[in-house]
Amino acid sequence: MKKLLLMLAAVGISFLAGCNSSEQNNTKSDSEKSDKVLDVKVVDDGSGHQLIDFQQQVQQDARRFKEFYTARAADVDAKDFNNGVYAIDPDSREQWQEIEEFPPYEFAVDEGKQLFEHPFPNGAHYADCFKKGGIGIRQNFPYFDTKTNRVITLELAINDCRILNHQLPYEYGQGDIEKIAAYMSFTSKGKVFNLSVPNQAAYDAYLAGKKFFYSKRGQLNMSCENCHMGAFGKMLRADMVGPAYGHTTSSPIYRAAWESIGSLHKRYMECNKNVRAKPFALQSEQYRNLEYFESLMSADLTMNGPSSRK
Amino acid sequence: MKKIFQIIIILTISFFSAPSQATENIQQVIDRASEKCREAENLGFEWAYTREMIQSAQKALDAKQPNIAGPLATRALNQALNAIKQAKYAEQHWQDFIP
Repeated sequence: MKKLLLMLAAVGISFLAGCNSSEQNNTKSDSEKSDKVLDVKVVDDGSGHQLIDFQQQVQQDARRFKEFYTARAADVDAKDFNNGVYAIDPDSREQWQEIEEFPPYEFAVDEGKQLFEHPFPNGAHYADCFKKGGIGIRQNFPYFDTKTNRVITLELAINDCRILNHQLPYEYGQGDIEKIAAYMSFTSKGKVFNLSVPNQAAYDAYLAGKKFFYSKRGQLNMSCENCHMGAFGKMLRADMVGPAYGHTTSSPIYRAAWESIGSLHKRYMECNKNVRAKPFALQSEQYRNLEYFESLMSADLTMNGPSSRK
Repeated sequence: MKKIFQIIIILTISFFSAPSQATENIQQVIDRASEKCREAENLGFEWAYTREMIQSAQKALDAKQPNIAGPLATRALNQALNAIKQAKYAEQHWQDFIP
């Protein structure tokens, strides 16, 4: 009887200990989660002032982001993720490679070159608005402009150039602006993203983009993360869902569904509509911040835009 | 006879005033749905078809079709309230979805 009581006591203690340890585990995982957002790296600027190292902060996020995909698709060369779903789906890749033999965006690139080289009425060119004459610089976009405190995308910079030269800005999303963007991207193929997070305001923009990416929205209550991380590599109806890692390297894209070249933001709008959320405007602050976040997460990949997608 | 006459008058008034009361109630729901929809928009979480639904409800009400306007207005209000709820949830929990 005494033994039985002792056994019951032992079982009771181990049960309670188990509960306690599982609580600790939960607490640990919660703190791990908050670490991913709030763990701030502090550096000394040399004069005794403590500064937050935003760049390191973001690089840490990017490392985790990449690890997620490389773990899920271990047999895929990490550099290949800039090809989106074609990196992971051999059947789709085969079709895509056939399409890329006669790229449907070729005309857009040619027309973009003509538009890019055509002078404004004042004699200035697009080349005058960009570093290195606008050739081979796509990898520097989007960047955070510390003067205006906003994320500048390539499309925004093209329109800023037009306004500077007394021209009406193009409509965003498709048409001439995307043809010029396609040409500029074409001249940057193979270059690795060259992005930075220079200050607190830039980090705030990055965090806003990150928050957008992970926030569920719309009547279907779905986030970017739900499809492009959670369902990555799985089928949604007849299509396999591609990774978010490498999303921004290939823009602008020629989509078969659009039958024309279009911007990344146009795709963002479509995604938002698909989950029955009211989309934001093209080149809105929300989408620019999202592009900034996604680009920083793909910062070690090479430019391969323009590219064709389904 | 006087009493019967009074009852008839009361019934007549209530018969004609009933639809206008319903119309008033539906208008209140539409107004509240519009207000909540704007709130959801300001939070950045407006749903795709709420606004259209509110417009359709208003159109139906103006065309004196309360049986169509009523359910539409209620659905729109529900959507707007859910969008606000979603925004508040996202504000507190978005980090939870980081793998």
